[in-house]
Parts: sequence; structure tokens; C-alpha cells
Amino acid sequence: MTHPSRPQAVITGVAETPYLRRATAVTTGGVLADAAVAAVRDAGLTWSDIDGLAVSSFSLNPDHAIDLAWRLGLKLTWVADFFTGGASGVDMVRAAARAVDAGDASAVLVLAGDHFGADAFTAMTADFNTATRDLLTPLPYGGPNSLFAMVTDRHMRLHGLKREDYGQVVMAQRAWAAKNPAATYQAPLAVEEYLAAPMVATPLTHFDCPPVVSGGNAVVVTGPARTTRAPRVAIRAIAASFNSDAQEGDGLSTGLADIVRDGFWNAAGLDADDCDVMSVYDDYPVMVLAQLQDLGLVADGGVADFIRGRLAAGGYPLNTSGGQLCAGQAGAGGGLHGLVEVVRQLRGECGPRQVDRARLGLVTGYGMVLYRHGASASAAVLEVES
Amino acid sequence: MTVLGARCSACGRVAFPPRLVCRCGEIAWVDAVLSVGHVETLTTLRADGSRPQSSPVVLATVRTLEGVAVITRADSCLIERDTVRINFEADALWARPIST
Repeated sequence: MTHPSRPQAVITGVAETPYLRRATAVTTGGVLADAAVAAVRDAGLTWSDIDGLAVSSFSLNPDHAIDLAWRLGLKLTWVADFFTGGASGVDMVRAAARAVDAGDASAVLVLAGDHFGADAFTAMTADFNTATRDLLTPLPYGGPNSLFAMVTDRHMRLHGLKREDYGQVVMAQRAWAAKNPAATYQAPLAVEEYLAAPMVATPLTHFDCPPVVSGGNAVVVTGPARTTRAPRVAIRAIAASFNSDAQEGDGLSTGLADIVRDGFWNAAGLDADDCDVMSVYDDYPVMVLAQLQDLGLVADGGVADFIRGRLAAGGYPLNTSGGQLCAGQAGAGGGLHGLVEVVRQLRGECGPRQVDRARLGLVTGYGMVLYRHGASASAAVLEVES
Repeated sequence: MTVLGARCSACGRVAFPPRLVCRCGEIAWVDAVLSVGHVETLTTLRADGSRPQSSPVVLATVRTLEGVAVITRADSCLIERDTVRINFEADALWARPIST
């Protein structure tokens, strides 16, 4: 089959605001604006250079991208709202790159982030969509933790895993977070502490659930000649899949399996294990493992061996910011968090957690629970230009 | 109150919750009463943001005889693979053991 073409557009700027727990002095518009200004500066552009805007944010409601354009003082030829949850970051970068390649815009600002007030997160999960409002909230279901508890239970029994195996995913990311001063949780985590934590929804504890934070992430996508900022980060492959199983499967295979089946690695001209650094969307440890399987990075039947061998050995270049499980989940900002980290790794800006000679990076997005599990999946391979 | 899924009279596929258009492309739905299934997965929800101090809630994924997955509140005596009857009790979908 034919593959979608590689974008000519490149990533020239990234930013992430500080991730804040239980913040009271910030607003959704404020964190998005802070991220936007920092990313445009990082790209070496001026504010008036921006002529495209994409945004993903739950708490921006009732405003949309066009309202944000007004409030940000941007005059645009291209604007888009994205509601694909954890996949929205990669989805927006894909759409922005296509818009730039087609000439509909020359410099697109891609924004994602949220600030949830005291009860706003609970209110959002209760009214997330029609099926949730009508069928899950009356149970009550308590938000997505209980749904991913059941996904984890299925995964655990299918692969013969124990709770400490999922703990190893969290502990490995904590080891990276210890080298990231921006991470919410930087202290090392021992397996005894992980196992002793009270249950949120069996078999998940709070260590398995990303801490909700307030924050914003931003990326600037431009044509290759638009800025002199160096080094630029190119997009070698980028793809997405939505509603791949109509919510009828076991939730242990994501749309990434479809993307790979449709030739993602061929389009990138790479094998699955060629990437030097990886951000795999980590709303829950089970989904990190499921995506690694879908991507071909962990063999069928090899999950336990991967966890107890490669991951436990330390230094595996996965979710090197600490991921959302340690750095925090800034709502829709989580969809750009891993992408910003990979771009910084590829540019060699990660200080004590820098992965040596990182040239190729993998980013995935996953999310938007419709009823039982996520319905959106996206992936990109990024490459730093020499 | 019974649980109503939707059966496509063109291809036979059953959906819950009901969809607007079947994956086969037709809008040819007839009601399908979903009543019996088996427990596929259970979880006990101990705490959440809206109910920090409340008693545990047991939830189940039930696979009905028609093959669809339904998420329900569940009796705490249930274990995986138990056969259950599903019903709406007030607004909430419940799975109760079938006494034999």
C-alpha cells in the first residue's frame, strides 16, 4: 500500500510551563499564553509571524481556538480545535505540518493544556460524553481510573504479570524524573512503597494514576526555510487511528497496532527499535506496555521478560521526563508533554537526563475514553537535522 | 428496567450503547434486550475525587450472550466468570448473580 508522504514542515520551537499541583493563581488561558510566548521565542520567530493556531484543552470551554486567537492577539489564516484527548498533541502537529506544506499557513502554533479548579476535573469526567453521562456516572464510576483498573486486570491475567511489574514501569520513570527538576514527583520509588499504597481502584494505586496538574505545552511548526533556528526537528513519519475497535475489544490493543500494520515503520524507513529516545503516552502503566507491544518494541508473550529484564536494568530511554506519571498530567497538555521532551532530547538540551547521541525519537499519543477505553491513537518519528 | 441494545437487521450486529449508524452502513436497528452475561473483569473503586470517604463500589465488565461488553455496578459477592443478570435499577446498570 502507499504511505502518506513525509511532511516538509519542521518543528522549530517547543515550550512547557511549570506543572503545578492544586494551583489556584493560574487560568487555562494564562498557561496556554505562557507556553505560546515561550515556544515562539524558542523558534526564533516574532509574534506576528504566527499565522496558524491549533489548540486542545478541556477547560478552555466555552472558548475555542478562535476565541483564543483573539485573546492571544493573533491574526491567522488557519485555525483548528482538537478533541482527541491524549492523541491530540501528535494529531495537531500532523495537521499543522500538512497545513504548512499546503501553504494554508506558514507558522503554526500548536497549544495544549489545562487548569482544572477544585471540582472541575470531577465535573469533566462525569459529563465527558453522552455514554459516560448516561451509563457510567450513575454507577458511579469515579472517572477513568476504574476503567483502566479493569484494563489492567485483563492485561495482568493475559500476560501473567504481578502488581510489581506495573510498579517497575513507574519506578523506571521515577528514575528519569529524579533528573528532571520540573517533575512533580522526583523522589525515587521503592517497590515496597509502591505495593503498600492504598488502592484507588483495584489493582491500581495513586502511583498508577497520573497526578492532575495545571500547565500548558506548545510547539511551533513551520516550513523548513521559515526560521534560522537550529537545530530543527523533522517529522519522518506521522499517523493516527481513531475508533479502531468500536470499544468492543479488550482495550489491550490500541490504534497503534493498526498504524503499524499499515506500514508506519516502513514509512519511517526504520525498524521499531531504531529510535534513540521514546515518549509513549503514559496515562496508566498498562497502556505504556500495551503501546510498546502494538509498536513492535515488545514481542508477543515477551512482556514479563521486557519488564523484568530491559526495564528493570535501568536506563531504557522511555519517558525520560518521568512521563505524566511523575511529571504530571496537565489535562490535554499531556498529549504534547512527551513530544516536547523528545524534541528537547533530540536537540541535546536535557542536561543530566540527556540520552547520548539521540538522533531519532518516537512519540505516541493515546486517549479519549468513549465508554471502556481510549479511542484515539497517534504516533510520530522525529529526527533532528544535522 | 431492561437494558436495550440495538440489533442491526441488515447484518445482525448488536451494539451497546446503541449507535446511530451500524458499521455495515445501514440504519436498520431493532431493539435487542440484553439480560444475561458473564463477568469478564471486576474492580473495586475505593476512592475518587467526588467521594473521598465513601464505601467501596464494585464495578464489572459483563460480556452478554450477544457478545457486547457492558459496564455495571456489581454485587460484591461476584467473581470472574460468574453468570449474571443485568438490569437498570433506578439510573444505574447492575449485575446480580443468577441463583441456580
